[in-house]
Amino acid sequence: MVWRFTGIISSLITLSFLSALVIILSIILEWYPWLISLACLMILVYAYLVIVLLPKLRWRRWRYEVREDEVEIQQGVIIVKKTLIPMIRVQHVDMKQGPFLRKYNLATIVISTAATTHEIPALEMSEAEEIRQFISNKVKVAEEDV
Amino acid sequence: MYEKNRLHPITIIYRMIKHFKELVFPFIGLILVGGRPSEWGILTFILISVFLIGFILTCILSWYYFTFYLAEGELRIEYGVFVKKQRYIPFERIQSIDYTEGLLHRPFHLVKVKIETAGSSEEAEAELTAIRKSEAENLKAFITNSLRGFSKEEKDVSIQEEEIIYRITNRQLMVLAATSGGIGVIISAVFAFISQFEDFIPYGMIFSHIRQFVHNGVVLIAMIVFLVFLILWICSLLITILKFANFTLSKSEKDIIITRGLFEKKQLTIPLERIQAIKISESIIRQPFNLASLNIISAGGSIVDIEASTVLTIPIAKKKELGKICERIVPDYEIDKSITPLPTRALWLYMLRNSWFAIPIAFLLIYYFHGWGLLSLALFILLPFWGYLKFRSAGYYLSNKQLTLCARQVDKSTIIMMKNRIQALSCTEGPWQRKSQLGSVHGHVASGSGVAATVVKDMSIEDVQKIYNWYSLK
Repeated sequence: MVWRFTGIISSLITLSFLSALVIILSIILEWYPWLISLACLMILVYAYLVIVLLPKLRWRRWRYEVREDEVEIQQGVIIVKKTLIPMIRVQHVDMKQGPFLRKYNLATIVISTAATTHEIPALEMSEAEEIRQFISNKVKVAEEDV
Repeated sequence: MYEKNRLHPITIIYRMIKHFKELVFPFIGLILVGGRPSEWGILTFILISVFLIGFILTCILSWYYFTFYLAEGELRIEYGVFVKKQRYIPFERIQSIDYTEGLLHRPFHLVKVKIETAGSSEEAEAELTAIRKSEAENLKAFITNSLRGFSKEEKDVSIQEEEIIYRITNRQLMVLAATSGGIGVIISAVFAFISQFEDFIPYGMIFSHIRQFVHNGVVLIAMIVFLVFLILWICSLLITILKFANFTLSKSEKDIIITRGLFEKKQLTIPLERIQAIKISESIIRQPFNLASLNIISAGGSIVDIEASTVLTIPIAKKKELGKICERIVPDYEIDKSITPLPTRALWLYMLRNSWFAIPIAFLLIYYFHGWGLLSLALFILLPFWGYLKFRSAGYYLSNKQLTLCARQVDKSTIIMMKNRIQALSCTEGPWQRKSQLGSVHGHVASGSGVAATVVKDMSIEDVQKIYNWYSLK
């Protein structure tokens, strides 16, 4: 659900920009009506994709698994990406929450290694807190290596 | 060593030159905007003189207030004219101490000392712009000795045993310089230079000249282009020679030490334990001659100092020799291993991925230029061929402890990573890849304070799975 909200927000900006572009173009260049309606249609399709379809698919594809000594994350709608992060490589774990996430009592976990950062977005608050605790405990135990 | 020391006064000049370099472009701009200096009013002159005097004064003051000394197992640096800053660096945090001898340093037997620390934040390291060479040696000896737990009274400068592993020969230097890709760098430098003056260049006039020129004949233009390239090539040749002359690689117990340079002597120390991965690159010009170079990706350096994170360790050597040298530097890494190539069914993906964008380009060119635009059809031969080359170069090797990934953009690079240095591993699978059961592997290692990522596309899915499982601790 929140995915859709973030989708709405981020796409509203692009959408308003696009519609403004179409209006300006149609005034300046005196576009034909059919061209304008085509442009409007494309914007509508885009809005549907960004607000309805993509968040749903994204949400359906997101998987994460926190195991005893590693974290595995799967993401992506068209290109599916699987990532492995061993616990001993984790340097720190952050939890972050925007206004939307806070309203729905959700939080995002950000895992940083010496080189990369990985996100597990929009988890239940309690779950996020649990994961954060779990990982940071693990990291404490793990040896200093890098 | 306990009293407060200042840097050598030459620092003032050094700093002035450095700041002047930054001021040159705004100054030229000022002249171009404000007209010739002879037309300036008295006020402008006064302003500029005040500015210059203030500038020189700041340089002198900042030298005067910069002191450094050793106390209680720390290197302490105090500086700042108005805002006083103190930086204390505990000896244990010091990763390496490097010297650079610039043109200004040479006549006075001075060196620039750069102290690198384990922290990777922007300001973690210290730089002593100019101190006497003997002083620098003392400093280093003192720090290393006190780290080893010697008594502080002991004055003996014990030099670490250093074994010279590789020294560039004149012939190698020439080959290196001749095949260096420095042309690109110079061209971009020229463009950057031009872009500074963009407003002042009368492009319209130049273009009309060029139009006349074109009428005068294609041959002449071709000759001039060739000449320009020749000059650029010679420039890059000279720069490379200056930079890499006297290149020596030696190894002590814990570090790799590199010294290089003709006029400006540079020294670079890489602690062995901070090596994250090694990278062998074969540039497209050197590959036919079986020549390759070796880079070490280390976790040292700071954000500003990119050079320290990927260090060119062996600029050029025959591939066979490279393996031998490598064994002596980093014995854990297995270099000459047979690379498992990609499955043949990946070839068409490589060719397609490389050439689809030629379609709109060719379309546009033919649409606008008709006859000559047809030349763009050559892209449809060149790009797939490039794709084929990429396909040929790609591959992997997997052993118990190490993962080797090979890929080519223009140059072929082989990255060798130890399992315990890989920070994260991911595999991706796109819709086309899924159809032909292929996948890509991305390896991430730390480099400097950032990340070095390598990707090999379109391996067979079993191989991807194999690597993924190898990395997994499950």
